[in-house]
This record gives sequence, structure tokens and C-alpha cells, in this order.
Amino acid sequence: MTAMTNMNTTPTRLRKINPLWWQIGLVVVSILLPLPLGDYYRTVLWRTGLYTILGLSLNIILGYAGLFQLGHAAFYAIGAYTAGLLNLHFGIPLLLTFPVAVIVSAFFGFIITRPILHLRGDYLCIVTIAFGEVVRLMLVNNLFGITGGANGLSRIARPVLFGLVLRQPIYHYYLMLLFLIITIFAIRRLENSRLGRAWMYVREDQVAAEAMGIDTTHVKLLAFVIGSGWAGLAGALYAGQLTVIAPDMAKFLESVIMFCIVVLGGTGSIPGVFVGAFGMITLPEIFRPLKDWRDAWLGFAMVAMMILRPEGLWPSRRIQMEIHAEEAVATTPE
Amino acid sequence: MMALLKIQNLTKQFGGLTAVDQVNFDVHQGEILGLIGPNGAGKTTIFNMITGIYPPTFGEVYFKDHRIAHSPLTWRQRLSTPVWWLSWLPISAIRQQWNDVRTLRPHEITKRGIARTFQTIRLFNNLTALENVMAGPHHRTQAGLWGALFRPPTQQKEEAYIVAEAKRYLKFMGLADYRDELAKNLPYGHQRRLEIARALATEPALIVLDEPGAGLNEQESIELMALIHEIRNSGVTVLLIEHDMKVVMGICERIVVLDYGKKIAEGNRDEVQHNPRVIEAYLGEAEEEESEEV
Ligand SMILES: Nc1ncnc2c1ncn2[C@@H]1O[C@H](COP(=O)(O)OP(=O)(O)O)[C@@H](O)[C@H]1O
Ligand SMILES: [Mg+2]
Repeated sequence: MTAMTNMNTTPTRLRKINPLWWQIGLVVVSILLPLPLGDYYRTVLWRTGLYTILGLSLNIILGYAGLFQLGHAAFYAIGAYTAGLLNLHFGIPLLLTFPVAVIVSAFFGFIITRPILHLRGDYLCIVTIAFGEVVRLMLVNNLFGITGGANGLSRIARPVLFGLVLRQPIYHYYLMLLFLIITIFAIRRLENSRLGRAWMYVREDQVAAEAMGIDTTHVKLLAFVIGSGWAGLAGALYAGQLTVIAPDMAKFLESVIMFCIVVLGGTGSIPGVFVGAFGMITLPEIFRPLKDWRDAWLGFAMVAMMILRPEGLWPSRRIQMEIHAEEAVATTPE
Repeated sequence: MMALLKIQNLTKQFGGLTAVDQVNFDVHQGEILGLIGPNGAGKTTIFNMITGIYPPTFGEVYFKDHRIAHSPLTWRQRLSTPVWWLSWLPISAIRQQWNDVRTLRPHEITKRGIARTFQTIRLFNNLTALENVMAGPHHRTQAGLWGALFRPPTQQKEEAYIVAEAKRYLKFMGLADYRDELAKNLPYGHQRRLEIARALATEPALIVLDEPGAGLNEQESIELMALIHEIRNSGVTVLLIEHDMKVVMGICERIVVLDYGKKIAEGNRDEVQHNPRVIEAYLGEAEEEESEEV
């Protein structure tokens, strides 16, 4: 029977890097995509891309390191508020606040997650929910006296690039696209690195990883810091497009949407995050009636998926092989 | 002969149960030492204390004359220990002293030169055999986030080194052909060997193997024992847990026997084999097995 399962799963070689033309093609399509569309749909595309960045940043924590993070939106909000506050109070041009937004969110990722790293699975999950809510309530209650309370911040100056004020949705789409491409490039490199492997060792078996000489605390902390920092970048992009930000950015539903984007498409998979963002953001925007029913649709989609395609819609090949190998074993008569 | 690993009065209590009771023995540089005893004797618990997974209740473990395991300091002890107050200072002499006092984490013990395998195999199931073994060189390489993103020459050299090392250890354990198989899909015997390859790839001075022969057929056991000999000959000291006496007699120069958490015998094959307490412990077990069968 061992021979049988081996036969079924022969193509266990890892996926080869996509050929260059395939990547260039995708970039060209994404550049042309908004041109025939009106402003509304351009904004929908921008939102989809923004949540893809958020999904990819959460994917580092949830997909690679296998750590349940249900408070990711907190760092998205922290990034947006950092950019907004620097712009409003110090008049720093928005684009220049981006690196600071990344660093500040990463720093909060560090201090918030450092004390809870030893928690496992579901316990970690609950604590991250709590921290997410704490951040939102701090913003609502205007704890530092500068965040504008429940109204948040408004009249943030639009980003300016070489004298060009980025006002129309199309500009924001391209700004987002630039960062999306950088994100994908960076994450693909991370995946195939010493650090990326360490995350996967932790995800697979933390005790074994530790016994192999991997400082699991340090590695997990890095996943949180990098993922949170990058969520902060998405927050700064959001602040530039909307010019108005509110504590609602950090609400629990936002974290759930990000979580679903990663899980719906297939945990640990980059194309999966795109599929997830399409399902969670684009579809509800296109079909307006669906939007009012989003919470219900979200629940249905998750239940249906867990039954029909537990590996996600576009899983990483590895996880797909894994799940189907198990099925093959389960259905092979003894 | 130099004692590479010294175990002194090692004791572990789980609630009311004393799993390991005042055990003393040394592992000498370059030997294969067998640790045997009936099921539940406390062998795995000793391994878990050596490798930092459990802290001992009492007693100590020394490795290369440094203390690597002891019962954790209480707060009162910490406050009355001068190095604890100074431990945040980046002065190497102080750090050194503090390292002998504090509780080490498992990865730090691995870094000092002890690698292990697990009684129930713990591979990284969804990663390939090669990726599993690539975990070994992790602790002696550097690249972090910047290396991953910008891939400077140092990082590329390091990656090449990690892959080459992993391939070398796969080949050593006879797994070169299974490089790209997922660990999960390997046959059981190969998984056992892969786990040893992964442990060896950390380049330990001492490897501790927890029942590596469990679940193997006779042919596979014989091959494995030959490999363990080779590991020792390559300069790695071996501490081996084995439940089955016959297997141990084949390769261990010295044997320590444990029963109900206590050391009941220590010596070479003949001494152990003819020790009445050992015979009794194992007879008791044989009877239990027989009565189970009935
Ligand atoms: N984590 C634990 N909690 C409570 N009891 C344990 C734990 N680990 C081991 N034990 C107990 O300690 C005793 C020794 O176990 P173990 O070291 O696994 O034996 P061996 O490896 O010699 O078969 C057993 O009675 C076992 O039930
Ligand atoms: Mg055991």
C-alpha cells in the first residue's frame, strides 16, 4: 500500500519558478486592467489590491509560521494613524511617512506579541483578538489625545509624486500596484530563504524545530514584526486614498476578513491570497446586494469550503498534495 | 577517558510520580552508550531533561564541563545571585557565568552540540527530505531578513553551503534518492533515518537517539546498527535508548539499565546481561507481555 500512495503522489517535486514571460504578462495585464473601467470599479480594484497586500502580510504570520493572528487589522490601523498624524501635525508629505508607518506598526507588533509568543494555537488566537480590540478602543477613546476619538482623522493631504497630486482613483491604483509587486517579490524571496524555512519548521513542528537549534521565539517574533509592519504600509496607502481614517479600521470584522482572505484562497499560497481577496472584496462590491449580506456570505463560503475544498481554492501545491495524499490513503481499500 | 556528558542525581517528578529517581552516569567521549529499561522506566524523560525540553526537579546535567540542565532558579534564588542582577550587561565574562546559572532552552543546547531524535518520529511532514535536513545547518548560519530580500553574495554562499551540507547528510544516511520526497510520504524506516540525518546535520558532539530501532524489521534494524557504528566512527558520541536488549547488546560498549526511574545496573554487555536485577526487571516485563497475550 505504501507503493500505491507513492505512485499517487509522484509529482512531489516543488513547483519551478514561473517563467519570466508569465510574470511580465501578469504585470502588463494589471497595468491595463483599470483603463477601460470607470472610477467606481477602479476603486474596487484598488481595494482588492490593498487587501491582497494585507492578506500577504498576514500570510507570513498565519501561512508560513502557522500562528493564529485574529487582530491583524490593529496594525493596519496603526500604520494609517501614523501616516495621518505625521502628515497632519508635522506636515510631512504622505509618501515620506510610509517608512515610518512600517516601522511604527512593526514596533507595535513587537511589543504586543512579545509577551504572548509562548501561547499556542487557539490561546494565541484569543489573545490577538483581545489586543486588536484594545487598539481600537484606545483609538476610540482618544487615549493619547491626538487620534481624534471616534471621528478619527480627516483632511490628510493626498500623496504627491514629482509634483503630481494623486487624486484620481487610477493613480492610487498604480501606487498600490507598485507596492503589491514589491510585496510579492519580497515574499517570494522570503519563502526561499533561511528565515522562510525556519517559519515552516515552526509551523510543522515547534518542538522538533527547537530541537534542531532554531530559536523558535525569535523566529515567531520576526514573523509578527514583519507581517505587522507590512500591514502598516497598507494602512498608510489607505490613508492616502481616503484622506479620512477612523478607529473602525481596527475592528474585529476587518481582522476576520483578512483571516478569511488567507484561508479562503489556501493558507500559505500567494495566488491563494489573490483568490481570497477577490472572493472577500471584489465580489461583494460588484454584486451590491451581496454586500449587505456579506457576513452571511462569508459564513456560507467558509462552511462550503471546509467541506468541499479544505485546502483552499488555490492552495500551495504542497498543502494540496498533502490533503489529497491523505484521501488516497483513506479511500484505498486495505 | 573524558566524560562528555555527566548526569548527576538527576530526578524528575510529575506530580506524585517520580519518573526519574537520583540517576547518575557518564557518557564518555567517543563511545556508544546504551540506556535500556522496560517501558515507562524513565528513559525518554532523561533525554528530555538532557535536551532542555523538561527542567529537572533535582540534579544536574553537565556537558563539556558546563552545566546545561538543573532545576530552575526560584525567584528568591535569583535575587540572591549576583550574576542575575548583572546578566543584562553585554560583558562576556558575566554572560558566561550567567549561562551556567540560567535554564537553557532546547535550541541553545543543540547549539552547544547535542542533537536528538524522538521516540515517535517528529519530522517536518509537509517539507521535502532535503528541506528537513536543511534545518540542521540553521544554527551555524546567519542570513536574516536582509539576506533573504537582497541576496548578497554572502547569503548566496550560505544557501549553497546549507544545501550541500543537507545533501551530504542525506547521502550518509542512504537517502540521496529521496531528496525531493515529502517526509510524510517516505516509508517508515526511511523516516527514522531521515530524522537521524537531520540531527547529524546540526554537527553535534553527542547524538541522543530515542529508540531508533522501534518499528523496524530485522533487516532494517541491522542496517541501522551499522549506520550508528559509522556515526560513532565519524567522531560523534552516541547515547542510545533501546527497549529491546538484543539490539543494544549488538552495538553498545557500555550499558546503563533503568527500572522504575532508578539506575539498577551499569557496565559492559556481560556484566549487565548476568546482573540478577536486570534479569528480574526484564523477566517481569516478559511475564507482563505474556499475560497480555492470554
Ligand atoms: N509529561 C509527562 N507528564 C506526566 N507523566 C509523564 C510525562 N512524561 C512521562 N511521564 C511518565 O513518566 C514515566 C516514564 O516515562 P518515559 O520516560 O516515557 O519512559 P520510557 O521512555 O522509559 O518508556 C512513565 O510512567 C510516564 O507515564
Ligand atoms: Mg520512551
